[in-house]
Amino acid sequence: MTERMPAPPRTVGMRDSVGYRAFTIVNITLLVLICLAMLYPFITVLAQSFSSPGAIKSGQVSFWPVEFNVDTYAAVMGNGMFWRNYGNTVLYTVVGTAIAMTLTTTYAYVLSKQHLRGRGVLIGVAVFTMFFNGGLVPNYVLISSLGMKNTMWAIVLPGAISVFNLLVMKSFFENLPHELEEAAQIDGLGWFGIFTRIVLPLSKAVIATTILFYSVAFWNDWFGAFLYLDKNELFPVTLFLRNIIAGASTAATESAAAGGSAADLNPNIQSVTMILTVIPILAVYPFVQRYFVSGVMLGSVKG
Amino acid sequence: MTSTTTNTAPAAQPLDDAPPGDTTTRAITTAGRPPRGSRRRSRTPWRKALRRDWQLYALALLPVIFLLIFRYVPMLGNVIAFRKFRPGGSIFGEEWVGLRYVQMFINDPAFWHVFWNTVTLGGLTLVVTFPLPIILALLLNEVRKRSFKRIVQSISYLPHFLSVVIVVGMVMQLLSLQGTVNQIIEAIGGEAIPFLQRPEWFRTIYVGSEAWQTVGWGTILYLAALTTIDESLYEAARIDGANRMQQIWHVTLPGIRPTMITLLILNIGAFLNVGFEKVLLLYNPLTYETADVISTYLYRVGLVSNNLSYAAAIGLFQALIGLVMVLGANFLSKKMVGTSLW
Amino acid sequence: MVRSMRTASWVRAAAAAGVVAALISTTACTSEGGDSSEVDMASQSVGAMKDFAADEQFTATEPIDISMLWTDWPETPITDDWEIFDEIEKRTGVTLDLTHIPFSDATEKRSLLISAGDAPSVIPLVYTGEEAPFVSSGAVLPMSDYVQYMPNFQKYVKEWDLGDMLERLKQADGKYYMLPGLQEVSVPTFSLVIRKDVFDEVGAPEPETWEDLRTGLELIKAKYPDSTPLADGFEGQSMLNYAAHAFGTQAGWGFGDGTIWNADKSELEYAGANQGYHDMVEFFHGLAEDGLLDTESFTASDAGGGAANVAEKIANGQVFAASGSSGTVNEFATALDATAGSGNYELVQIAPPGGEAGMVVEPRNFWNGFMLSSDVADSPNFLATLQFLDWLYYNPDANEMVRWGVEGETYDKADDGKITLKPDFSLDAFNINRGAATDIKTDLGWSNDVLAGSTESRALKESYNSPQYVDYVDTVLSSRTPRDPNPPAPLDEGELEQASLMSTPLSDAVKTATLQFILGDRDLSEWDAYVAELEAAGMQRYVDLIDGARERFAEQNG
Repeated sequence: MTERMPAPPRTVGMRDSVGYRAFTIVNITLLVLICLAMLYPFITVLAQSFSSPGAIKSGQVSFWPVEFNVDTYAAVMGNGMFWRNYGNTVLYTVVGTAIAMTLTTTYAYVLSKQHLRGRGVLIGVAVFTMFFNGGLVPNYVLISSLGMKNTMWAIVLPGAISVFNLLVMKSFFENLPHELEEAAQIDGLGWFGIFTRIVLPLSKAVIATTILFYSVAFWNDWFGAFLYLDKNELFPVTLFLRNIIAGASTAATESAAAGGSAADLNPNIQSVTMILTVIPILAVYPFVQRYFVSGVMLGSVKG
Repeated sequence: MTSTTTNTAPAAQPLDDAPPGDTTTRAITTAGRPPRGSRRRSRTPWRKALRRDWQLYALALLPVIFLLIFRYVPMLGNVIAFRKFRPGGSIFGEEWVGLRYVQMFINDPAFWHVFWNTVTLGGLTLVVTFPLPIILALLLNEVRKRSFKRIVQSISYLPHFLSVVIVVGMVMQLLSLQGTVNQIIEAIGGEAIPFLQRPEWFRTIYVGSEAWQTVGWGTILYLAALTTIDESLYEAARIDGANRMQQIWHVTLPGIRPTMITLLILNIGAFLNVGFEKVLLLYNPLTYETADVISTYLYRVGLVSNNLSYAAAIGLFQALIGLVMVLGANFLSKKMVGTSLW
Repeated sequence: MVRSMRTASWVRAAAAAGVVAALISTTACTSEGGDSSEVDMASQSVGAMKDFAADEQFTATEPIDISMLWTDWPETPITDDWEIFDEIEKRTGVTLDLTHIPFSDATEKRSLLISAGDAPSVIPLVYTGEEAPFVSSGAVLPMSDYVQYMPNFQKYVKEWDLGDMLERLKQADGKYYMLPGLQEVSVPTFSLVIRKDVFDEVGAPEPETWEDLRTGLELIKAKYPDSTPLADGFEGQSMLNYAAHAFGTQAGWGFGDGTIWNADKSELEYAGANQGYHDMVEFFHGLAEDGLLDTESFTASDAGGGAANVAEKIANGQVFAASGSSGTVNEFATALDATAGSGNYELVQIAPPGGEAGMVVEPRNFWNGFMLSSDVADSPNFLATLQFLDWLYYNPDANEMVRWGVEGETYDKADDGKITLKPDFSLDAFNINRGAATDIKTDLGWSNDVLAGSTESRALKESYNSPQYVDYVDTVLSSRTPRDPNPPAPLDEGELEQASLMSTPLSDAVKTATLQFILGDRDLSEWDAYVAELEAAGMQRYVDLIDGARERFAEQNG
């Protein structure tokens, strides 16, 4: 019997060649540059969100806020509907992700069983839906006929299976070593038992990833709400913010009424809304990251 | 009761898809999968299948029902590609017109022009943005300091969250006649280029901004895949004398190969879905020649007549292409590399 | 690949789908509208007034509910404090049942609701023409059949001489399917905004014509050589729009379907190829060549603060004249406050300059309006609904109420008709009484963007606008002539399909070439080659199609 060994430290060992050291330096430089390239626009947006409309309109804001103020933040966040909608978003994201994960992981597991009869059909049923959908009107009529309009279900159900995530997960499951499952079968576990006790615990990385993908998708989704919800108390915050942006930019071009409404167009409304939408995700991500590092311990199984 | 050892023993059969030279580590990583020859071609009779796998079928029931209701039922609406649809009338169209709308777009030279634009733009995007996350993931993987790695990871995702409007705004600012890029060009003695007005630059601008926005997010899956690679495989490779580069080639890459294949096939299927909003914001009549894609063309046509039947016919055409591409890619992948999506 | 589809599972799936589909199709079918010829007004006048006349208050003889689509403008969501609906109910006995749609993508949502058969009875619109897609399915009512019951509408159409414009709303069957908001005076919303202080500084006169403007720009450029004094900011679409009329053509936002009526020759021609278009393009090319035109503002839109952020350029002294509405004036002012400082500049919106076609501006316009779902024709309250809408949209007291609120409570009206907002109330949207405790728009719902501003007399319009805007209106009315609108040429269904496919490549070619000529990417000597390209793309066939519709309409309607 072998014992579970801790993962050996990933050092290259004593022969840290010159080539490799050079590579490391280049690598780190490259990564830092990439970081800057990614970060700079974000910093600009952040700075703009704290700047005054005048400064932004005259192009003075690039790195630091000019005429620092939190007026737009206060205006947006002071709106009770904003918080209500934020709560909706959280609810929709949590429920939606839970439902999506349940359906996706179970289906992916089933699909990963290559011996299963009818597997091809089951895969085909999913893959076909990636390409063909009926368009806005039929979807709307369906949801409406099911009586789901103006309920949470109209938001969380239609998006519950992403075939992309499904196939990725299936691929992960397929590449788990079969001996563990075979051993469990011999021990008397049925497929369901294997799924819950062997497969899931070993798949933390892909499960974490899929949770992340679904959560972000639900978090950012405004389209479902736009289609199926009439009452603005039910809106997710993304739709709330989208409306504000649309209002601000339309007033600039299509000119609402001859006098022009919203005399103080808020150019930083876009940056503020973006920051408000993104911050929670960025805050949550570090927790998810943990699962990427611990990974899968393909050690032995004690007899 | 048995115990199983880790996959350090070389498997018996070398596989025919190994990179030149070293078959040992390839076999190591693929030892977990059943050898290709053993996939049974004979079908298990239904009764036996149900008895053995009823739990699996039960697990699949809910997802399948879900798909049927929420995906397949609305698909029936696509029938308006062959029936005339009047907004406000029946959602399944008023009367059969057969292939009328199909012929309409086949005979429309404007359509084919934007079709080829879409293919080019989608193809270029695929070719450029597919390898980049892999490379970035590998680079990140080589970083030893965990905190640095985490910070870089988090930062690299930021562009994914920027809305299209903001990204396009920034691109325009960068590329304007007084923008940063032109300032650099003028500083080294060149003449300012109005990038956004030149059709020949559009593809570069579009693909570049797509790459910038998606590379960080795309690494997530690969990083997750990298964690599933058994550490002891690296150990074994080291013992065999492989340097870092060889380790990457023989252990890392094969380890994430299933992920790569999956993503490649899926992306091939989606390559015609060029981003509507981004193109709409970035293009202008001067760049229609290269920038106009199917979705933006339909948008302009729709502004005049709101012809959903026409759009549905084109949509079906696009979907068909996507499906064929995915099936083709899957088939090729099976034949050439041994792994496939299904 | 995928193994052959198992018949059993597919059959099962198809059967299930079939059941659901049948359910859905019956739902969709039953919501189709009724045939207007079946309307029996006598039995459908529950709640209606017997002697409803113009300029009189509408009161329903019994309380009725009417469903209405409401676009939630983002800065002014409906709150519980809103008084407008209560006041409407008080005065008329009508309770409005609102279905909300979000402001962003409102057109798509509205279209979706109608297509799915889920639309409320009253559907407010923003532009004329928005009803066109729904005409052929019978989803909306032909309003022209029912205006006989709407005395306010008829009165003001006559009084403000809008009858000819109504003709343009008629569809191929000779009926019109929406009722527009009526405007006693109609001026272009977008025009040129100039920095008057700089024009004065260099001795340039306020431009009356485009040539005047050119002179002024040259003087400015002499003084500020690094500037490109003229910019658009709306991808060129705004400036080309208001310039085109002065040159005798249509362009930009006003390009329309591309056809224009040549009154001299009494024939329809394609605007993108006519002499006026050529001259206009030549003029702007001249400006660009001499460095007087900011070419970036002709290609990039202003959205998202991009490169063509004209306000930025105005603030930094690179641009001194740009396209805009009175709202844009405020935008520029905000930017200039940050650089030049308040009081150190003067921004004026001037009337669109004239040109070789005369001191001509765009034809007169309607504003907003509404259409009715055809299921209203089955309602017992049909007549009452018509009367109510007639009052709400066209009665001057109602117009005043919708704009200002309740007389004595939110505003006072002097004997000469002058309206003053009471000091405790503000209307921030128009900079009136800023800082007061209650805003009549955001807090009470008056002056909302859905209903207010549809029908307005000149007096009402001037009552809430800034003095500069009133000056602008006066100047335009006194010194500019609105062009005659093109004769109506409504297309039937089949023609509409053809037209959309023909017109898009043509208008694309026009837009591309326009920019190429103006920016100098293409030499103007190639004009004839360009016209030949248009002809090869089917220009004449297209014009003939529209012309055929025009003749047909003229015959059928006298």
